[in-house]
Amino acid sequence: MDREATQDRPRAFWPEYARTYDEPAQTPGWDLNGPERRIDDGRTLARAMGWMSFGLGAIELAAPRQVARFLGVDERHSTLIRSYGAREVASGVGIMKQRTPTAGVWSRVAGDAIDLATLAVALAPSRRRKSVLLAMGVVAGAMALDALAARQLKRPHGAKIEGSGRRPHTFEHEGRTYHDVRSGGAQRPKRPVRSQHEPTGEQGGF
Amino acid sequence: MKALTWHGRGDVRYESVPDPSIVDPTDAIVRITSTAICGSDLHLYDGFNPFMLKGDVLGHEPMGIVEEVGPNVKRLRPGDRVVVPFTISCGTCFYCRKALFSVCETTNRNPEIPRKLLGQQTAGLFGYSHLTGGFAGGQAEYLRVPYADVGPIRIDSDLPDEKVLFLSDVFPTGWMAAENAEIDPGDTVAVWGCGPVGQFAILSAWLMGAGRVIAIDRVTERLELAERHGRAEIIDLRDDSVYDRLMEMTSGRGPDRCIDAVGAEAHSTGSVSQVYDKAKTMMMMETDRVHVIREAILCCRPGGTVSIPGVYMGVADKIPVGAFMNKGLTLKTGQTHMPKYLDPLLRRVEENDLDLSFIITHTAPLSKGPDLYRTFRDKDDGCIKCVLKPGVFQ
Repeated sequence: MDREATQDRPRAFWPEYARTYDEPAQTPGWDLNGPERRIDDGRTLARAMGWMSFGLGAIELAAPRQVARFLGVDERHSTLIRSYGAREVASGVGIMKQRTPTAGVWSRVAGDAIDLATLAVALAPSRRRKSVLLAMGVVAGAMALDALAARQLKRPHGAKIEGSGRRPHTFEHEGRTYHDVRSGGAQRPKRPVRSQHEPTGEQGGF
Repeated sequence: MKALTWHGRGDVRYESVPDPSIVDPTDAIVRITSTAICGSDLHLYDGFNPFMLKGDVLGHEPMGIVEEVGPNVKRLRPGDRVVVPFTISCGTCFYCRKALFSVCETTNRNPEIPRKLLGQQTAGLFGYSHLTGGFAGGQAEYLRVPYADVGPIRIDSDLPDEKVLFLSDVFPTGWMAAENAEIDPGDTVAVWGCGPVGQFAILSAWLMGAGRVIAIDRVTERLELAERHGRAEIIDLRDDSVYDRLMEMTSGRGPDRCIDAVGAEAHSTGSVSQVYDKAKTMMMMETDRVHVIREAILCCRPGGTVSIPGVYMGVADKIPVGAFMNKGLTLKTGQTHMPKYLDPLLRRVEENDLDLSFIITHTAPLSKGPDLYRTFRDKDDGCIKCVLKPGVFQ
């Protein structure tokens, strides 16, 4: 309890210790395999795109004829539109199921490319070219957002932190190898799993 | 592990999240035995901070047992019982060397956000949005503590959690508020806000030699506690004009030292200031309701000091700068420089048998956290301070 008595292992950090440390300090790394998120991790944007997939997919599945009429193409293409709707819903499910939905978002980017190609083919025979051009604009905008989300999701965790000299690293400690998660989602060592955290009795008062 | 996570305005959930792990050699993992809900958590709960992401773990007033330490941690060992302060400081940077630990220039992992918003970066804080580094908080079963040699204080005595837990934030914050108020022996100190920080500011003001302490609030239970435990004279702002009452009580001179322990969500009763702030914050033209700062500047006697421990986040206007300048006031504020205060204050707790648990009104398992956030926000059931117990099931 006495500061002098525990000088080898003082109980608190005292301001004067600051002057005795000469190692350059580094910004703490991210515990992204743990409970932390980065504000630019792309997951919020990805989820928004996932909801968009559900919405568009539901419309294409439920009302393919109306979609065909809107685009001014033959209603015989409704089966194709329905299959595109199923693809959209599958992308949406993929995005919602994953914590870091990189694959789901890339599937959307691929889907956007297919949509754009299909719309380009439909442009010439369409009776409502303005609608097709509008749809192509929307798909191109969504594709840009999908690509942004995919890029944010893919960003290596070891990317430079502005204003700091941080670099990814690995270190050994007590026979175990610790990987900074920013080096690309390396395995992290697990503590023994407790089935239930019983109160220790040390805290008292409860 | 289980944790309390933020999912939107008024939406805190008790859910499973991945366990934290040692990421840097200076990290420690602490198993949390007690953790509190802070008044400043309510700013997040009420959506006043735009830098939150769904799933962020809340909480910055934890204590517990060290489970695991990184290879460069020298001062702590597994099994140590520690209180973890809410600030994360490196201990070696320009500011840490000046003991200005809450503006450490190393530990905020999103320095570009505060640089744009505040001019310079500030320290990383646990569970307090991506503006302060996006660190997971302590309302959880486990917490990763970066720079574990700098922040946590080891508790060697067998004092129960409740008697030392508030070293994690509110006691040092109330203490630094009183210190910033530059109290001379015999001074009259007015404290706006009788929540936990206000109660500890009252206690600290007495310990620093105040002659009179006047507590101002609008919640009956808090005023009663300030009067009963804090031995303060009280002003209920529902009944009186605070300015008129303070002038009456101080022979028209005003208090020597004013402490704003309220922060960004101030209320006032029937004032133009209240309507003005509500309207401007609703229109996103102002982020903080600064009624208390205005009132404290107007009430403070010429040459006095205004100390602000209350948390503010962005911009506000109609601050009476004319009164501030012409009366020659001193304004001091800041997040608490925790490592500077932990050991001296723990000594006071141990040697003077200070009981910090007097503010606790509610204790519950962590799973009851979402309900207690609501109770605390609405100040129902006489709620002043909630302590949560991870690992306790009911």
